[in-house]
Amino acid sequence: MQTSRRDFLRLMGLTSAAVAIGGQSLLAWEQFDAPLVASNLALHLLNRITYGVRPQDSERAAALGIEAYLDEQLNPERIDDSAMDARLLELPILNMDRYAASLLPEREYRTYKALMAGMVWRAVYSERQLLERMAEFWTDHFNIPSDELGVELVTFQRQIRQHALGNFRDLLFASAQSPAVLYYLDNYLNNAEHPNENYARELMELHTLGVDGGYTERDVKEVARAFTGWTVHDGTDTGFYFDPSTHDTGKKNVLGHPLPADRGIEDGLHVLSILTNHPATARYLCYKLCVRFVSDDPPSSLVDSAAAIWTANRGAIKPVLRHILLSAEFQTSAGQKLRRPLDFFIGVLRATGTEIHDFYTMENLLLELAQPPFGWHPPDGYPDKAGAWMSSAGLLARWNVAMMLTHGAYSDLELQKTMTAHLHEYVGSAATVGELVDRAAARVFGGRIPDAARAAFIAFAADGGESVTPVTPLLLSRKLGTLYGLMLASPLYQWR
Amino acid sequence: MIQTRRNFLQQMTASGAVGVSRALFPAWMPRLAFRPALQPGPGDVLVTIFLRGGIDGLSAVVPYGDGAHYYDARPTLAVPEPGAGTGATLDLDGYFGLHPSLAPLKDIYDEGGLTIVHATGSIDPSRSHFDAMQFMEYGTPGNKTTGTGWIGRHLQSAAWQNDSPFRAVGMGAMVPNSLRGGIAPLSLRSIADFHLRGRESELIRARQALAQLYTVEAPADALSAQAGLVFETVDLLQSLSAADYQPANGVTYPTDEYGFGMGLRQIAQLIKADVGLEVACLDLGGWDTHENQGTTGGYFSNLLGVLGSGLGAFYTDLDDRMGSVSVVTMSEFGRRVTENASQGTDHGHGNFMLLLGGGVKGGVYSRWPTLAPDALNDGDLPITTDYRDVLAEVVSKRLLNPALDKVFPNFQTTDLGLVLPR
Repeated sequence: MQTSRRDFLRLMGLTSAAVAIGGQSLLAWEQFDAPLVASNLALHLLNRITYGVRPQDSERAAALGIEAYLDEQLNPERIDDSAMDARLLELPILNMDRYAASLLPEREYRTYKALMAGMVWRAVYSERQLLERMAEFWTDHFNIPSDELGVELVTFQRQIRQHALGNFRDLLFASAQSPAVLYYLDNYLNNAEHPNENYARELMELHTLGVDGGYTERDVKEVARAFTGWTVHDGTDTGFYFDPSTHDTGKKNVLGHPLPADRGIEDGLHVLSILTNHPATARYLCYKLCVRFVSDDPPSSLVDSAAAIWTANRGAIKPVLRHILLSAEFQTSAGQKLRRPLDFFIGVLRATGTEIHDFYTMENLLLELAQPPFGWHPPDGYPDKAGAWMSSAGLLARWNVAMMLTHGAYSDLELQKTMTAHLHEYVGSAATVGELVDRAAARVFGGRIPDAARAAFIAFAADGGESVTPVTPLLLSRKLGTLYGLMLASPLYQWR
Repeated sequence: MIQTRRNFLQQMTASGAVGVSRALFPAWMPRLAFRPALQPGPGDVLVTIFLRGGIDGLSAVVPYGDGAHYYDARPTLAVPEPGAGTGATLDLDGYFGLHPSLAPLKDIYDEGGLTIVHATGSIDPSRSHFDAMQFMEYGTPGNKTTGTGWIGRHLQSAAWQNDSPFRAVGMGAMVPNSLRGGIAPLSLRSIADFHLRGRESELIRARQALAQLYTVEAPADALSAQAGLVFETVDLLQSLSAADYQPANGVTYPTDEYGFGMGLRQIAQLIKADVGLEVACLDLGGWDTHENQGTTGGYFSNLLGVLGSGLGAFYTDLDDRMGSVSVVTMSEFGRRVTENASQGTDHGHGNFMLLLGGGVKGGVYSRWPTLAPDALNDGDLPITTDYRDVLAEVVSKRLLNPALDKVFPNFQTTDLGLVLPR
């Protein structure tokens, strides 16, 4: 009996999502032959720590070697990013303090636009790609939708970027006193008379210990009491204000640690220290990093060894990342991560050299893909695992965004012109369709592709003909954009 | 040999006939050719509507009969008693009434097409939207690691086969948690937009290349299976002439910013097209009214109007077909009995559910605990009817799936007599 697709799906439903998805993930990753990079491993690393491999990225990695390239990316201050800095001058809002931002006309929309464009531009153009990947990781980890908090998010984003490769302790302490977090998780309302548990719960469930981190409902109540009086006041520089008059000064007990009576802000600081140093925090954060950088169901050996590095380095992020990305487990994980829609979108821009300056175009495309930055409402952040993004509407949106951007159907004429010019430049003077496909594929995938995929692209570009079909100006004008679109829409591109 | 849909598609592909152009795919073809495979389940079509954010059930289905308990707790927000002039509650049964913005539901109620359950919900005490929605959609209050939704488990445990790509549809970009489980649900934002775009002259070849690249004839993984679903869906929707859909009985759906009216209109269209739809999920969000909620004018009232007019339009549009459709609404929790200092309401507990369709018994079902301060659960409306009992009755009596132990594991269901056996 043959297995029908429906049966197949039913069977898949019974297995774990990770197995179902990871199984045959990439058509034939092992067939990948990457002449442009030092080795397949370098391509794999680039696929994970950048938002899309450009020829210059491959060349840099080849010149330095994997380890030195990674170390360069882990120390972004060593990388010249002046072109990025110059571009960001167009988004002065990103440098405003909360007072200046609060005075902007239409401040919510304008701060949202700046935050969205800043995130997209940096991911596309910054040479400090791993820093951008980590900024996105922490933005998801401490997720806050921009809805009514754009002004506060501008500052919080700066703090996230400052500590993205620093120490988790600094991130956690900054988040606890950030008006964005205090508002979003209701701690600004938390007072001795009416304790609000929202922040306390999410602090442990999402920011530190994880849902299985061993805390109880009683701990939630005690942590909420410890943070009473942590609120927002416009009279302070940062907006954070500790109001002693609303703080619960009774003694408390958090995760077995007694907190003496008659203290003030120390209660909350003490709780943050307890949580920072808790072994469940090390494990949960390392698990999340492994899911982000390795696979949806990472080997527990790797999570354990990373947690040991985390603990030994007291929450320093760089050594943990370095350990994960140079591990044996990482090396065998190629092709197991599905690009999330935002990741896909940024990859398309990097692969095609598309410039999007019009915010409406950018926003519309990101809405179509269902992952606008700062658009996820619950506090857990956009999902990381493939299962959440495997939807028919989502897949069709990827295909259509790839096709629209590459063949220039978008109404933005300037975008169309620059993009078309780039696509021609990337394929140069290919004489045959085979050459054309190989050059475009090298640009999109950073290397050569499996034969079956190559055959499908050739059949498309040559209207069913062979790879030796000569490339004519007419063929180029008809096929080039859609060929790139197809490559970006292909399953090879969805997995990385 | 029986011509299966799969064989049919294979032949079509081999001959290059599965095209994206309307001309290559006559409108009549899929419905006739696929008909045998697109039989839905033996029971009703289920439409679930999730009111995200925690709708204020005490303003939507007003317990005016509770008198001072209600009116004292809501000095600025209470909906006036029936007969109190414009903006008054529309009486249902002498104790409960509908907010005037839900007037379209009053007609359905009077016809016997609407059952209302009050003081119901998910028994987990969480007042977090995030947790409460997840619990409710998983159908396992208190358990966050279930991983599958109650509807997903219903479809997986059902005894019948249904090979349609439209078997379970989530209206929106992402698949709702309630649909997670055994089958691959279709997510659909817009019937009219669900097609491949790009350079017109290259679309057919582009599509062939995509089908080849995703190996849709022998899907190797979940992503290529989704790709197959996309192609089938595109072809079927093409044949429905989406843009030409005319609702029956002169109905107009609301054109709200949430896409609720459009979503209901598309569900009605799919039901009438007989494409094998068994379950459709739709959201209406925006109910988290902590401030300036308004009473019979303003934000809440307008949003309630979208809900009422949307459901009214759907009911009238489907007409006789409502006899085999069950609509259920739910929300992650209700709101606090006492209004807050900002003319709004905070997160609460118990709430109401609506059941619409030809198979409901009608009336209001409630073991009403009263809103007397000492009857409340931490200041909130207690839950005296587990929402799983409401859903279980629909699953067993209307959807004809007896496997309630699979749909709601570790839960002993109680028959409340809310719907008629099919």
